[in-house]
Amino acid sequence: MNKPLMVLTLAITTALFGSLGQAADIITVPLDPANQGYNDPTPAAPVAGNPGTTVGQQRRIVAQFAADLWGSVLQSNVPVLVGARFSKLGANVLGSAGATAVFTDFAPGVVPDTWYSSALADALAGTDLRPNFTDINSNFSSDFNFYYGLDGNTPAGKISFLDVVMHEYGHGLGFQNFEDEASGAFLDNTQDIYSVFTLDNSTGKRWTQMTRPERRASALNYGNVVFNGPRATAGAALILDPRTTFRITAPASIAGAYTYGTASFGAAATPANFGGAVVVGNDGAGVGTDGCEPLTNFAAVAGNIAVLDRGTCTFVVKAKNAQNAGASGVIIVDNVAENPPLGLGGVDSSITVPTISVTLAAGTAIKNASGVQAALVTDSAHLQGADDAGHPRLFMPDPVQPGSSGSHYDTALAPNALMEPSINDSLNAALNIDITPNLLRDTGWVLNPGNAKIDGCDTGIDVVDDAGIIIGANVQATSNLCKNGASGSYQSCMQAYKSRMVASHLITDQQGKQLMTCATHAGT
Amino acid sequence: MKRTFLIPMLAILGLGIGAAHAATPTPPSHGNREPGQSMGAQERRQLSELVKRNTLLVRQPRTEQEAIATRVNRADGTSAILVPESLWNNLSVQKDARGNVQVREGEGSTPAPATAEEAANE
Repeated sequence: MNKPLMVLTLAITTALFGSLGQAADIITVPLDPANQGYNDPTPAAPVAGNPGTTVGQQRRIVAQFAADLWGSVLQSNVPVLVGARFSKLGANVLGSAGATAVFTDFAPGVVPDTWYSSALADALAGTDLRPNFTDINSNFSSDFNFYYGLDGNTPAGKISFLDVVMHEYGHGLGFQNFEDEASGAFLDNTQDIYSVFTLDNSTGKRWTQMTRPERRASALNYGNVVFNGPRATAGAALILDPRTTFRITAPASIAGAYTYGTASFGAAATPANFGGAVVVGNDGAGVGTDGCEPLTNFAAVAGNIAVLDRGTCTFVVKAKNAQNAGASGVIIVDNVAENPPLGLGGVDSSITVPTISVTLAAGTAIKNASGVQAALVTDSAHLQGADDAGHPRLFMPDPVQPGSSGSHYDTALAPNALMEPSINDSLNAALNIDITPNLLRDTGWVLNPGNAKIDGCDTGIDVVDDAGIIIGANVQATSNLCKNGASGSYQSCMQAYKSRMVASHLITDQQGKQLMTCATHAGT
Repeated sequence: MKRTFLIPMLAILGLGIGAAHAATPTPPSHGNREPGQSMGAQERRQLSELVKRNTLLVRQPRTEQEAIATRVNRADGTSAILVPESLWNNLSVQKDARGNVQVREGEGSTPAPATAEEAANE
């Protein structure tokens, strides 16, 4: 860690001690009118750990479960109030959230002249800086049929509401800058604590060291902007996979690593199946390189990777034509200057060939060169979605995507992270919130260092570990749920939970016994 | 709007209240707690109702210009401002051309969000 950053981290941590003593009490405050959103009276059958019998009740249970998870992980003596409502959001937007207010210079030891989100500022100050108002507001889309189960087993094609709520609350708690990426301007010309750790590797400057035009340019510098807090970096090393790189090895003039996008059809492109000579496909009609008709240069394409241009027809048509010509892989060249390269959508179960996309610039270089050799390679010395120093990358697409740029991890992270800008089905935020707690720790939050407790009884189950596994937090949230809303007795609810957790090897038999000792004590 | 005209609004916005620098601690109007002190269910309900009433009275600024008008600079050095909704963050999902939700992400350097097939570029 560089010295200034170490000093900063210590300063923040020092400021916390003495004011943070217990799990945060996070309270969801539904703001919807009667019969809407969180008050939707539509009957619903209880689902996977969620005993609610109306849609609104199930939504409230999920939201408070998420609040209890976060509240178990973070420490604060000041309650965190989260306004929550359902409304129509933009197309494909599941949720939106942020801090309602920010504060500077509210307590000794904080970084001067720097915005902190309301919940974090309260925690650091040890007092409520804006009493009786929400610290966070969150909106969720009324257009989606969410999955309201709490078990993490989201059915195919559905979206876990718990994952969405955990993501949005994460923003409100502090995974957020207060900067307009389109202009480079900080909110009212004041830096924020998240941007203190936002580093552009191309310039070597943090966002708080940049001019406004420099920040504006940095916000477009895809792949080169990272979060360099020491806790997040340490967490990334525990979590992220070895890096997979698309690399051109010949000719020397264009050799190097390039960003790439993947496809939702065909075999997943891997180092095992994607490599070899690259040949530009030609269908002999219209734009000959768009691959919208059967390829005519199949003799050259066969056994090699076909390069085709985006446009005119669907991606699956292009891939199918390349496959029919005998290609071993397909590269689609974007026809728009953007970075990261587009993801390739479409469905065709007859396609087996692996397909990737590259940027317009990279594709143009490939097409203009001869004797191109390319492959996906595993770089076990580095982490997927992190820079060479191990700092997790932040999402800085070009062009800027309002609402997504800046305050998310890059979609390049693997495994997928909770705070990426789009949801994915590999998440299970009920048990795993990956690097996010460590990032929040860099900004000043203190994590619960101990085990899950039920009415003061120590269960022996770690609330949150260094890799963001939150089994203990899940224990505490479930205990609250069993006390407040589950069918049957508290004891039977906890017994069923304990059995599930032991059976799935999330806790040991011994931990299960201790959990029930605590539950029995709490139930008497 | 000039800031001098904002003072009566501060109580409504809740930005003029409470600070760690204050010589006298802020009254625990909603639960500044001692370590180990938890909130009871009734207290949570009452607080939730109070916060809901207050929050519905305040329209969150939508733009940075609107937000700047809410900035408060206290004599003790604390500053506060309401955050414009334009700086809030979104979580999105993609749908394919058939309208099916696609939640798959690839393991490469970028995801495969499975957007509607090429429609914008055909």
